[in-house]
Amino acid sequence: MSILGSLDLNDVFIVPFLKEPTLSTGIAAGAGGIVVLGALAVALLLTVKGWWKPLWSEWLTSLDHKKIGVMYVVLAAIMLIRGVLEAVVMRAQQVSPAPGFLSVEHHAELFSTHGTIMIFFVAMPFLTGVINVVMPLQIGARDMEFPFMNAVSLWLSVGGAALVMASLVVGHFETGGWTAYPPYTGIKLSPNEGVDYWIWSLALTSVGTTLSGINFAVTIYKQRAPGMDLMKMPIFAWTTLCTAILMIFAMMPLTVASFMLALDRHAGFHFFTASNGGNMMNFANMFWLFGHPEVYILILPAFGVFSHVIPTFSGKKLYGYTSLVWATIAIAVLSFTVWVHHFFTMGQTANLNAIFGIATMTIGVPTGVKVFNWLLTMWRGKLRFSTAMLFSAGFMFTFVIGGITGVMLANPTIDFATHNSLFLVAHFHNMLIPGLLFGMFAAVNYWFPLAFGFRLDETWGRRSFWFWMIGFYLAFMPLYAIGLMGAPRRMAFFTDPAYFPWLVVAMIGALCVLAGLTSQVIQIWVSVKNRESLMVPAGDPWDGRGLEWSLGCPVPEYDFTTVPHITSREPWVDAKAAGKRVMDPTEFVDIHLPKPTGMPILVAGVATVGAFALIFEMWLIAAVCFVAMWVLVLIRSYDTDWEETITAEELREGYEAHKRLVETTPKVSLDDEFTSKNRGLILEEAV
Amino acid sequence: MLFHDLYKRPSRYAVPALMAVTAVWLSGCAENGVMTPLGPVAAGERSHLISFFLWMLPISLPLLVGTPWIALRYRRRGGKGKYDPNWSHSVAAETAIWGGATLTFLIVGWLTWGHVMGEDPYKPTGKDPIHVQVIGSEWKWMFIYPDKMATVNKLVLPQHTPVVFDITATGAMQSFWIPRLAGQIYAMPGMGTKMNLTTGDTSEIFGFNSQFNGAAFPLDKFEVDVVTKEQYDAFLQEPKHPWAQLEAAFKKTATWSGPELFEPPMKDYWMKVMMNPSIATDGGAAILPDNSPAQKAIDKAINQDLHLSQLNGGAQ
Repeated sequence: MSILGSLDLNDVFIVPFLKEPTLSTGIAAGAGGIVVLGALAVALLLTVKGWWKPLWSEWLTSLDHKKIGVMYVVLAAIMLIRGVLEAVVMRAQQVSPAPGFLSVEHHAELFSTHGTIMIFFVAMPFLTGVINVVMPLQIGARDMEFPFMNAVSLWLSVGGAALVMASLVVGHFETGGWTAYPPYTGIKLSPNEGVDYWIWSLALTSVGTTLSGINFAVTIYKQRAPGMDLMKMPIFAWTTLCTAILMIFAMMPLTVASFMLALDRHAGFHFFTASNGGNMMNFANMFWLFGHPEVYILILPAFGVFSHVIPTFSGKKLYGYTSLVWATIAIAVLSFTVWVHHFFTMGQTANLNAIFGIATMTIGVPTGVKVFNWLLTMWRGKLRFSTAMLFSAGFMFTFVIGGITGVMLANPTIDFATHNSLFLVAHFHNMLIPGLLFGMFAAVNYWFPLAFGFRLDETWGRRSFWFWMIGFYLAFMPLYAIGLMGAPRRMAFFTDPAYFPWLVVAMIGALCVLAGLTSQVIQIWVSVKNRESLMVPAGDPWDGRGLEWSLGCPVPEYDFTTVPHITSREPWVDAKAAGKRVMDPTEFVDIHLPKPTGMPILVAGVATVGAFALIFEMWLIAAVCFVAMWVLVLIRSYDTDWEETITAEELREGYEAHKRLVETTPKVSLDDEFTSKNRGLILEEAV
Repeated sequence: MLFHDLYKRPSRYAVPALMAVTAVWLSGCAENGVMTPLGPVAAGERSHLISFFLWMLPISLPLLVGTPWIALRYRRRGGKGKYDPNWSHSVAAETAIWGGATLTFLIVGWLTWGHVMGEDPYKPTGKDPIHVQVIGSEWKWMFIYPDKMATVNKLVLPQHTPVVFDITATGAMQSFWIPRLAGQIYAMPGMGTKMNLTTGDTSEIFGFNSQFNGAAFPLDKFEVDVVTKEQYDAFLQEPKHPWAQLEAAFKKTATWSGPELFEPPMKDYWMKVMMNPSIATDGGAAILPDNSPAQKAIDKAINQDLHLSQLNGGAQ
């Protein structure tokens, strides 16, 4: 066997098209071409502008939690564009005359990458990024507990995403959906490298996520400002804590299941094969033992975001803090007790199905309570409909519909009639688009100034909301309908003319969503262009309530000049009520921050090359990479010169400068919140 | 001119346009799913579905109505609501929320228990059911009427009769589903599952595999004919092809084109396949390179099937 393993010329994206040009191979070649040309264009831009060096020293090597967070979100945004485009292609496929322009295999790759990307490379990096930026600022921390590990997590996720992108250029991706059930994904039925792409890209990102979970949990346990006991923590920190615990415990079954699948495929094991003692049902159980808590990993951070956006833009205290905390904890615990509802149809006894169905419905209780809490937060408020608030309200309405169908699906007998149908597809998109994406969009619109110092353009933001909202309804309500008419999911084409009008509406919806995404790209572009007029150097541009808004925007590298002492749940609201415009300083002391280092990229880069080698059975290269990865970790572990000091004097100067800035910033009325008059520190009673 | 009219007097066109769209929509209303059941099991599933939707409304409507209403009433500019910035707790509201949610849970939980016990697919739906053994394969279905007959992609059942299926598979995991008769159950290699149902009036419907399993997934379906008892007896007497022919051809990882009715296999064939699925399959790949001869054969079969379904007015 050659050193290049099973890699051959036919795996290069353009070759199948050259051999047999059809629309299907053409689209595959085009997608591969976009990846290659896109990478080249970015490289060219960086070279022409001379941005390589600042990019490397300011961003890629940074261990600053805010910058790592931003890079996570950028990763999510790039992958979101691919995911949405894939969705549009699939919708177009189903409205074109059967059998459509995609081969069954190509369509299968599309729905598999769409699911894998949206869950692992959009949702996960998106929420990890937002947590990274915001959570330490909310609890009065200066960084994550383990900044180096934080960067390793990021670059492992980037490595996983890079492999999924590479599958467009070299070889094929997996075709069994994002769940990749064996025996279909076993070596006999799926002999090509697709499943290995799925296994190893997930291996990289799931290790990264486990490390992130540990980091978040320890940071919250150890780094809270003095006086902030658990019941004084902001809700977003609470949802982060629960998410982190879920990440720690839930990722492992996935990692183990995918490793076992790899052993089945390449080492002759029989964990999940049909014969020789294997059993594919174990995979389904292990996958969903991860998969169901994963759903709450995805949704809880967004719940946290809404718990801050809604009070801020209602000008009102959060309703039912204690209720929300206990509801969050309840959801986190219950999420481990319901995984069987993903396969009620696997033939287990009625007792088991009934227990898991009813357990699933219990989750509806705390979740429903939460939505009522947000509604009662808006009750007797003064609501301002910023982009973030629109996404939150849109979420509340839409999520309830998903909740109704969710409880319906939790009844095993209804599930028998709707499982594997488009009704199910509509249901989980109905949960995750509002429950995750809308939350993250709200978070970006709300907290953007913390990272960059300027607000995002509201006009394009609101347009993006309406496109997303209307697009969602047009795209997924028809799927509920044809799901009930018996349309199965993952079908490359439908011949029944009755589905056609519904599919056309869904196609229009997909285009609407694409317009929403485009609006967001324009929003960023316009905001960067007009950043001078959108600057909010004094911080707190929305009359915010959390500790993070006591800081200037953008937040300096060291976050807090002095760590505040906390005596209540909303210390910044109390300070503002007492007429203060900065928090009282406590004690200025020298602090140590980690130096930038290229080592995380190196470690993750080597791991990614090793994973690629595993995919194409280049065992020698894989072994070398594995050893090199640990050697690099060892080298880093013996590095003693990794901190730099910021002196108490510098911090005092930072504090004084911020105070001066704040005192000279004119007060602005809430009426001018979305105008260029808003330079920060906006107040209701100001003139 | 039309555009001008449309712009000036939209209402003139809106009503006929809406009616036309609705008419097209309804004329094409598909009768494949659980909403148009033909047997008591599917009918039960439909009634559960509707009842759960209704039971969820009392707790959901306040949110669905309340969100836009509160959003309008308490908007900062022009809203009429009272402002109370520190109102953040109310025992009455807490009781109502947690109580309402818990009560809903208790109701739907209680109903679920009854539904699941009542419609357990393992529970016989009547006396002396017809026994059919099912083997799902890439990409075809074998039905064995023990000692009587074996068929491929064709299931014939007498009307108003209980039926019990023993289900297994040879390659990938599949899901055996006849939506108008009963919800689905997985067909898995090395495993046996069961489904009980009772047929309804005579009808020509179809069943399929709903779990994606490769290149010919769209063709992984079968005809279901519910017939009178006399027709059923006649069906069992129809001339059959030899079993050996079926056994050899069925092993191929390929779509089925050929005769449908065969002599039955030896008594415990289904059990042997369940214990060792490899005896009924050649173990070929389920996902194929675009230009391979096997893939081309599948493409051809897909096109033929499309042609047939167009002749039949598009039903699957």
